[in-house]
Amino acid sequence: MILKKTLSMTLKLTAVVGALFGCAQAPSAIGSESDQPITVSDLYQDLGGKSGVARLVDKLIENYRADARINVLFNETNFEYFSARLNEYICVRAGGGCEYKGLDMIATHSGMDIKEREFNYFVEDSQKAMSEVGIAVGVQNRLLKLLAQDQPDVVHQ
Amino acid sequence: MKDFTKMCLWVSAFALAHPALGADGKLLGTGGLVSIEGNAGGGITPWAVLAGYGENDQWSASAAVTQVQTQDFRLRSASVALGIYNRVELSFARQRFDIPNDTLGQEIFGAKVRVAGDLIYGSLPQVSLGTQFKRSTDANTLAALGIADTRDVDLYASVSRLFLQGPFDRSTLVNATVRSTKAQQTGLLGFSAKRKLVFEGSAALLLSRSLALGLEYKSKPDQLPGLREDAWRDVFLSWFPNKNLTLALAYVDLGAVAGKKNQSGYFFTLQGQF
Repeated sequence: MILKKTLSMTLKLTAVVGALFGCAQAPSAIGSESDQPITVSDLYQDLGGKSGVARLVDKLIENYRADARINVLFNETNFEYFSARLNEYICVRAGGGCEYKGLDMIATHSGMDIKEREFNYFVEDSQKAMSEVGIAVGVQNRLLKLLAQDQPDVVHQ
Repeated sequence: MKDFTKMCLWVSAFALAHPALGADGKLLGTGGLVSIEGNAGGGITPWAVLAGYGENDQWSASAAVTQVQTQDFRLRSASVALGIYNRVELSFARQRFDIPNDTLGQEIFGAKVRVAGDLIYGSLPQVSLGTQFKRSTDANTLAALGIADTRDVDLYASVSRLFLQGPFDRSTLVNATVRSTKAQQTGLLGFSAKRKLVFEGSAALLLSRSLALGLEYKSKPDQLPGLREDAWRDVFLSWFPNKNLTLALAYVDLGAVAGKKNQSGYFFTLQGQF
């Protein structure tokens, strides 16, 4: 009985540890030259497509600029350029079939030395923005999971 | 009890009145709870996360009061934990264990170090190593029960990962711990002669940004002659309205404790993090 219990516990733990270590995901190609087919992912549709993402990006930038913990990072930002690239980037990440015309994540954040906590402030402001434009928490998490893959390329550059 | 209630109200009022006080570098909910043993975790199992909301350039302090009530026993704990640069955690817990006609207790000094990985980002989950020095505050009572060993050390390794998109598209925290211990009922009933490896696991689903529903399972060595001990289990609901306040309520099943079978009841904890 005890043996059976222990065995089942061990199996469960093995599954859990396996899941923990299997969580690394290869990032999808960003900025690859494309004649990508115009099939659009469910996630991109759930974000409201092109206009939905545009609305989200406006709210994201509004929240980042209003956040005293991180807005100093935007002192030299051209917001028109930033907005265009962010639209493309979210579109690519969410599988919307766009082309990202900016620098890669390492180059984009080079010299900014963004700290781990600052990255988390961006996540919090982004969650707030997504809620504010009416994106459901489940959809938020699907997008966040994809964007969070870039964290190692964004911090401490 | 009156003092306990008063303290709860005071901590709550303070924490709610100052929503952005102290260390705030981690995402909401990812500081975990300060467990009944003082280290960060769920209520009864350790996690690889370090106490509080401090990221790697911040210090943070946490304090918690906890009460577990079953048919025949009451366990109360007051604990404090210090998180240093999200690298090192130092903790202290004082436990009082009311058994029929008597009281036992212990002090737990803990240290935990994050050795690899990250809770959320990158390819490796967060891995931490921890140790606890446990010392009975009632050696004479234990001696009267025929228990000679009243102090010892636990060692453990924990791994934790938050999956932003878990089941039902909800963020999900998964934890597993291996512990080397001689403790009987976590040390409340002293220590045995032989060291054993036990497993502890927990998982929590974030129902919303500030509410988590979770399960915990803590296996135990069961080496006390004549007084069987079972695994502890609980189902908990944890609420973190901001980064300064966390409350958790759980249904606990402690199994057989000190000769009393089928001990189950509630677990309540209230904590402040700064």
